[in-house]
Amino acid sequence: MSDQARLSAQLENAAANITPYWPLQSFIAANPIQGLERLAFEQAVELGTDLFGGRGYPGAAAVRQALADGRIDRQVLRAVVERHDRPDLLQDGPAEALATAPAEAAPGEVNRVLIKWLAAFLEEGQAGWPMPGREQGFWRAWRTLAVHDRDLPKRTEISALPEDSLDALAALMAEVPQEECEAVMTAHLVALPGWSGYVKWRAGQQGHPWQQVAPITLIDYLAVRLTLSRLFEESAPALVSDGTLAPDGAVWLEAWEESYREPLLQNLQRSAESKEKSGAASGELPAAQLIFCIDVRSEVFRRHLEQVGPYDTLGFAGFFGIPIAHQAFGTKTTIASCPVLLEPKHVIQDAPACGHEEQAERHLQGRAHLTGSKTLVAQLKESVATPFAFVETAGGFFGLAMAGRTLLPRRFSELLARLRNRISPAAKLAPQIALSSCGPRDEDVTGFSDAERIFYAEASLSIMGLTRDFAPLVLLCGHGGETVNNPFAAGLDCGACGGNHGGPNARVMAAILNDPLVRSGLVERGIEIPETTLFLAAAHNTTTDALTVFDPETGQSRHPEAFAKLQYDLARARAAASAERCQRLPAAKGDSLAAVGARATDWAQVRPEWGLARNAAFIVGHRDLTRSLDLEGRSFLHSYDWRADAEGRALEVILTAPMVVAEWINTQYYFSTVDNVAYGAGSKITHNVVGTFGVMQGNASDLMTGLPAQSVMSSDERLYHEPLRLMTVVEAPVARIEEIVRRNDILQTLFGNGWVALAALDPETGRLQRRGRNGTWQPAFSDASERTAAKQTSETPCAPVAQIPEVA
Amino acid sequence: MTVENTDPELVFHPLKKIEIIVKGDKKQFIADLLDRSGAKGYTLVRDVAGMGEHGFHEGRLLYNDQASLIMFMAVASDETIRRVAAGLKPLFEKNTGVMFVSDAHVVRLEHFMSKEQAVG
Repeated sequence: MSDQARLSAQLENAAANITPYWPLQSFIAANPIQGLERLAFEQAVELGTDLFGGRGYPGAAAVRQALADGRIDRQVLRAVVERHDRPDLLQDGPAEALATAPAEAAPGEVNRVLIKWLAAFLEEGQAGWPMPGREQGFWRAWRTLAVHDRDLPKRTEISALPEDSLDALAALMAEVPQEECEAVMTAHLVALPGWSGYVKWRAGQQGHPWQQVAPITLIDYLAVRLTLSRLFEESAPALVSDGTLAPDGAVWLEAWEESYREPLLQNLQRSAESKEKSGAASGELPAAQLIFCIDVRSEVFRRHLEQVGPYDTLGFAGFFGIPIAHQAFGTKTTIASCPVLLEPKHVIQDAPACGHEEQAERHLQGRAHLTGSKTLVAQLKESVATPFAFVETAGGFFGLAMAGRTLLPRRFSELLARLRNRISPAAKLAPQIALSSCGPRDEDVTGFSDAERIFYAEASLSIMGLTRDFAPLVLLCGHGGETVNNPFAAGLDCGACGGNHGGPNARVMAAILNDPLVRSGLVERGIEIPETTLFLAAAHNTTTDALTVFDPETGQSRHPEAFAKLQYDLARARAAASAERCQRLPAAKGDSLAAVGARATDWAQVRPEWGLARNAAFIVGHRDLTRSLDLEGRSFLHSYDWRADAEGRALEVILTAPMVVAEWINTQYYFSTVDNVAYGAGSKITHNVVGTFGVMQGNASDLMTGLPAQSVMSSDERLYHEPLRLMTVVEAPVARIEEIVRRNDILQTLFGNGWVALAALDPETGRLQRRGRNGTWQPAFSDASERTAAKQTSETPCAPVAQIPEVA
Repeated sequence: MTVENTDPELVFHPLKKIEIIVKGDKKQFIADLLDRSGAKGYTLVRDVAGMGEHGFHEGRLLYNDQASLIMFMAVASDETIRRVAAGLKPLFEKNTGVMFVSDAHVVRLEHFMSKEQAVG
């Protein structure tokens, strides 16, 4: 038994090399080589090549294109190659070796059969005839059925293996020497990193409904895989490295990154200086304050809104600081609506708003009819007896619908929405935020206690630095995308809400902040919200730029003039933001509002929007610092008031959570771009959705876990996303930042290993400084002669040079 | 000072206690390990802070459960605790964490051991 305990720990260590894969329904961005973040970036990408066969740097063609476009600045390149003592690169350009990734190993029989069984076991309601015995777990269910699988040689041997999966794994690993166990299990896990990543995720979701129907663990997975290896007499899969990754990749990447970072830092420095010169703000309150998610897409809308009226905008993680599981009206299941770094701590149910109970009842009845019809159609399609008769009778109607969707997608979508609304009219709902019982046990409660509501309100306002000077209207804007026929739809929604629309969280936080009890509690904590201030929730549609207020009647009745003006200005900002975005979207010509609307409803559209493509920076500070800059939708923006956070608690929260999520997003885009086959999802054109949770290329591939080619490339040859690592810029004293980094392992890992670069705009000195990987800080700018003299001496080749003493 | 036990029903049964401090992302693994090793239960303390080989570790991170430190406490037979420790040894070769094993006494033995273990 001690041996089994040791084996399970060795498996836990081996599994650290693979990244959990969240299902398509939430599509959480993650670094495909997250398990290697313990290593310096350069070592990790090389090991990534060994383990996953993925290329870790932009290919030669992409680098040449960036040079031609000027995205790699020649002057910056000169400085970088001097630092690395590689002047030859200036003449020679990128070597082809950069682009050479090992060829994909031919899929073996083990992979083929394992994929077949995994797809059958893990499917989530797609199969008309599901695999029997799934409730026993993957190993036991497979062990019972596999003896009948004619694809398997010597299949009678399976019954001789123990019934318990860990005992079976121990038996299968019995001949492997102790010191090799971890390596052997790693090799088996990385053979299909998408599938094993999904199993890793599922195994950690005890409450997931399908994990209860069909429980699976990595122990089950490996027991089946090793049995198949034994039956097919395939040895442990060899690691796929062919050692062709050229070291110049790091130099080219640094040149590309610095070409983006240096101008950005110069702009921020100039902005800080002009802010200092112009002195304090006018003292006039804005007409409204609008709080958006930190998402890079918010920046475009915020910039245009600020240009059309006297509005202040702020950035905050789109879950608004409340770790909730949301239960939509009339449903029995909850959806975790918070970052995956957090476990939901409160269930929030929607209920009919006061006086709208009858309307809500009609809505529910209508929805039951719609669901019933959908189920009936699915059954008629899937049943053995009915498909032909069904096609004969209803085929014409479906043909018409197909023509409508194809030829007039927008009108067809509007027609469907009207029809849906007629059958199930929309009901006015409100989140139930007060603590209330919802079951027989003491712990069956929904909502927050009084103290919890006050706590979350204070925490959120303090972290974003909004603790005084409240405008009469404050909008909390959750966000989500709009797309049809797109398995990757959740990838366009709010990452901070676990890949869901952020509207429910905005509504909950608005209700909390309008609660008189919360407001009086906040006064005791030094935050006085004027009685006239009204918090309203809104939804920002990132595909169409529409910003919809959930409860416009309240806005109209409390602040009629200001609200009407705001609505007008939101429409103007929408037009300007969509016009800017259309310049970058392929084939988005003519009226920009019509163009973005069409993309949201077109079922053949592979690029409804660009999502978070081209993200490259995370800026933490007051909006004054960035208000005058066009950041081109490439920066995550988190509001922060360094003056109100002497102990650095708010900054610590920002760096250890929103920034970590931004790094996950950034690395997913990076690796999906530099190697779309190994780390991305390949082309959408050849995708097959499997079990509703993932996509495969063809009918038996690994699960494709990253972003599809269409999300990061504008054509087969041309990148749209620029593969640059994230640079975080913080407006705060350097000593405070350094102290936070030192007390958090996660930050030491990300900054120390070169996954994220860190710069600080120290408001006390007015100087911009950059942190080297070894924890030393140096001024961000030096003149050319200084740069030439400052040849790289650090152990870590890409780190900014450590020239000045450590800050205590 | 020795206190005489005047209550014959109040017996202190000797067992072992293990305290395990790990990052939050190892919660599931430790819970499974304790369960598989035969521990009948455990106490979980979230948001643990402390000083270690690599400096100070922050306890509570408001928006990040995975990077926060947690502490498991379990009391069981020597045999069970040895199994748990055997599983932790390889884990700590690659991950941050510590374990402490100490003697403990319990009154209600049946809460910490199965009937077979108690008899055996």
